[in-house]
Amino acid sequence: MENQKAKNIQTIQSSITMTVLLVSFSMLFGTLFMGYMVYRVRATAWPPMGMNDLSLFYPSVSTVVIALSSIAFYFFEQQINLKKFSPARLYLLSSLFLGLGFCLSQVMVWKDLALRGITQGSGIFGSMIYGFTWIHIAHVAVGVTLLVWLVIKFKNVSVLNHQDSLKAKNVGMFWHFLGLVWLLMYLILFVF
Amino acid sequence: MLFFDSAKAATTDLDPVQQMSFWDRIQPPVDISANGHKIMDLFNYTTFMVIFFFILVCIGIFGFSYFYSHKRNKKPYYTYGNKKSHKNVGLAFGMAVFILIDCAITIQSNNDLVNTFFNFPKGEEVVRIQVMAQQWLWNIRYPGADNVFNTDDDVVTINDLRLPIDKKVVVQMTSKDVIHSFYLPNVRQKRDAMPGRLSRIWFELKKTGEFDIACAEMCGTHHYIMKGKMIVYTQDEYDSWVKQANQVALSANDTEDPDLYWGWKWEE
Amino acid sequence: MAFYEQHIHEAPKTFLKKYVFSFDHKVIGKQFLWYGIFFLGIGGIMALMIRWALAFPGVAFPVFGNFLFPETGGVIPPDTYSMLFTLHGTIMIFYAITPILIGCFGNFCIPLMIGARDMAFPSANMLSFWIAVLSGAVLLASLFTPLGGAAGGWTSYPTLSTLIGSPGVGQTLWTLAIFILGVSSTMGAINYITTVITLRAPGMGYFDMPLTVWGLWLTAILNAIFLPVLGAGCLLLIFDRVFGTHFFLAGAAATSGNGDPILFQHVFWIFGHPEVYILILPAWGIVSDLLSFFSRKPAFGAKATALSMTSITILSTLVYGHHMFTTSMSPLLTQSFMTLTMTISIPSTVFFFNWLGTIWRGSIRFDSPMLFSLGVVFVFGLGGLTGLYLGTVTTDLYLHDTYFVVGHFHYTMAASVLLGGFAGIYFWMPKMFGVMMNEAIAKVHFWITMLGLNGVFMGMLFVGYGGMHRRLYNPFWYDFLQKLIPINTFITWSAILMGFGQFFFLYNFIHALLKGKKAEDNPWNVGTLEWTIPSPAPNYNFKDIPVVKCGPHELGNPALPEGRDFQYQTEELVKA
Repeated sequence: MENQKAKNIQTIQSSITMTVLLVSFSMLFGTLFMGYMVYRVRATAWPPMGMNDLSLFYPSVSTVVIALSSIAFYFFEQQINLKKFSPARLYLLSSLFLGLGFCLSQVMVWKDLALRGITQGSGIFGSMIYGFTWIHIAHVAVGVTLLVWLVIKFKNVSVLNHQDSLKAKNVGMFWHFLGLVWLLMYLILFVF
Repeated sequence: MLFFDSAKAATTDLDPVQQMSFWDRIQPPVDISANGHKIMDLFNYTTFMVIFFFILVCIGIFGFSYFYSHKRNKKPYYTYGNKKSHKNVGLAFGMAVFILIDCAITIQSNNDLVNTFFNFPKGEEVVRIQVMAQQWLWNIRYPGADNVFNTDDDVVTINDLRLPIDKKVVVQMTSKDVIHSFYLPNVRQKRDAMPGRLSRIWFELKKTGEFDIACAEMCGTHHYIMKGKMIVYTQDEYDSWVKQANQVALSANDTEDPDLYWGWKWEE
Repeated sequence: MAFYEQHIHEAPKTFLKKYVFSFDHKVIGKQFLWYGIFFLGIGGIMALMIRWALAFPGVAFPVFGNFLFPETGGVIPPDTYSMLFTLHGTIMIFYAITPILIGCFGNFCIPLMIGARDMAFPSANMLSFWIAVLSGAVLLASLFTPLGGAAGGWTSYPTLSTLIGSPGVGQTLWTLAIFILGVSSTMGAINYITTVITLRAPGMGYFDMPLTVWGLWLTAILNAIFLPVLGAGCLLLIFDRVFGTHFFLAGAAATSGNGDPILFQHVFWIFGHPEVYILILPAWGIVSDLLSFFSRKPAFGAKATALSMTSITILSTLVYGHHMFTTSMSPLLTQSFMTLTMTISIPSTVFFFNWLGTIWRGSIRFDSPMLFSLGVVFVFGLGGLTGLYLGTVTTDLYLHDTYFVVGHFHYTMAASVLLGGFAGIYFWMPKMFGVMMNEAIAKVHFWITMLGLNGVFMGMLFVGYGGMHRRLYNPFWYDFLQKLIPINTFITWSAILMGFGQFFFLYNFIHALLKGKKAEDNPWNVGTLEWTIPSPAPNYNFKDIPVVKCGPHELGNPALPEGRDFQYQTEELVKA
């Protein structure tokens, strides 16, 4: 009984911390989006001159890849709750590789932009695409590191321990959050 | 302020600056504008309120410290401050602050702002000036004889603003490099000159003479020497100066020089 | 209520684990204290150099002027002057006040006052300190770069802080240092929030927490929400400086710039206005508690105080625009920001009423923590009231960026917070180090500081009213400022007096550490949880986790037995 109570409290504690942490990160990215709004409202034409031939291909690939990665992670959490560890490991690994794939697709996005002559120095629009994706990819790098850490943690797990399931849950929240931020960036920077 | 009167400078030097009393020293520079008194009136009202409420705070701090020190009052009054009377007194103070300070000042300031300081005059009678701030000087542009900016006959000066008395003046400004602030202490106003944006300020002058233009926003190492001068003329003096300046501009302006055309189309 | 009992950690054995990489919140708090005092000294010397240049332009700075500026014969050159006021602001706000008030008292007091054995995440806590050290090192390193440190003011408005205005690498390092410090403070803040929510002793509701904890907790919430905003601004500024983006570049000097320098001002003040409350809230909390402890009666309207702190916290997030009245915002925005700003005066009135209500009919003991607390009420009264002029748009048009502003925010942020910090140090010294400080020297320290700081900041209000604008290397360049020379000289002498007064504190502090009088467990006779344990606090804090049965301010209860005038929070409230 005592053990169960301690577990509940650990769950509460970690969820409070994670919520506050995600609020902090949302403020960071929210500030960027606010900046976007300010530039957009003040601009006379949008997208600015010469910026309308952006290719949607690589950004869309990124979106799909990070969405799949999030979904894989969701299945991983499902499986560990069902105590099925070998499929869980598979999902976790695919989530990790899809995350790496996202990084790769981001590099392709930058290459594609550079081919079209858009650099961070070409006006505010270029600055935003590059600046925002840089900040995002830095967080994704942290996320990928956390996934690697999880892979190592779950390598030989046969009994689920409460601490580990909390860790998986928190890394998951962070990873889904990053996916969501990318979706917003994709929508405002590339689609609209 | 009274307690500082004793600090009056008692020198025998004949220099008037040296003989000023403390009270004279802290007075703001002479008000030469038609509307500066509105700012000063609100300042004075706020000062009366501040002094009144600060005296209340001081009575609390010093009075209570005196009467309720451990020596005089051995037995403290055991209360959480949640009695009805306590709450009512607190409420009364809150209301007093709300009405005397918040409402009075906000309403007055809003009215001044909407009716005067942000109510920009329009039309032909208005004297129009464009200012381009840069590190560390003020470029000033008059529209010249055709009354259109950024043309060959514009009068362009540096750090030298000459204006007529009793006319409404509108200054539009921007900056070339960093943020500056166009500060006219004698008009009681300032406005930031920002790169990539137009900002504007208007005023009406009531006294002739020579006054300072200062930069109020940190703009680099030599921020402190970014000083311009504003000369206020009577209408006749101003007309003759404008006439002469227009002629000089027509002959002296180098129309080949792209740097001359830093002006912009006037925006009403 | 979420509560769990932490295990008792074993006492660390090695020196490194005990004093350097310690997980113990008390040791981390002390580390932050040393860190803060170190930077307070640097920032203070910078302040004296600024004042020297203002009062005696062209005169060599005494003592070490010749060593620092050999090429000008000891006179502070103008570019160094800009660097000095930039770093004075930065260091005082981010590297002195934040570590002392939030880092030291936050770490030291929160677990002790809520009856916990440590913070919720001790390792994150340690990391937070060492990241702060890294940030301080980056900031100090920026001083030794070829073009010197940052010189764009502590606000670092672009485009002055971009490559257009400051090409040196010092500004980049400054921005980086602030970003790193933001990471450190955010980590600390998340830790504080979780600790307060989950680790309160059984029986302790939110309104049973001492007001100090309330102040620190609200500060942590503001920190966690708004530091990332500054972080984003810093990142964009770094991108502009290092990677050639155009977020804040505009105007003719930026060849292809169509960014918006005003955006940085918005971002900066969205963070910056809550920041002033981040700094003052812990001091408010400490003062609210100390006034009650030393008046020997319960805090007057403690609940109302806590709630008005909360409402100020919420309001502070909505009023940032009053820093930007002169940037020609739309009139509608200007008016709404002014109106919102004015509403802050109502919770502030509640505060003052409750503070004065606390000492009303008390039995006041004028020990040094109490003197400093009363000092806070005095200077914060002045600071808060002078804010009215600046929250009003029309008077702000005249006073914006003058010394009036400098006087105002020094009264609120420097004077109040400094006095509050000293009150805290004198008060918790027994629990931190197990020694008492000398009362007589502490009182001399108080009166000299009080005299000096009022001379400085009151003088600033006056010269600001006289029209003197900020950040002038030589204010006497202007004719209309000639008459203010004697007042400026007076301010400088007051500043020197105030700086001199701090030697009393240093002497007292070091003397107490080396051979101070051993402190009793509860020298001030107050009942909050940290005084139920031995002094200095043992590494596990509480042998048995206390069970809280009454509020933190149970003093002067007439129903108490003869000879006692307070009760511990662990005791059942004695009823008549």
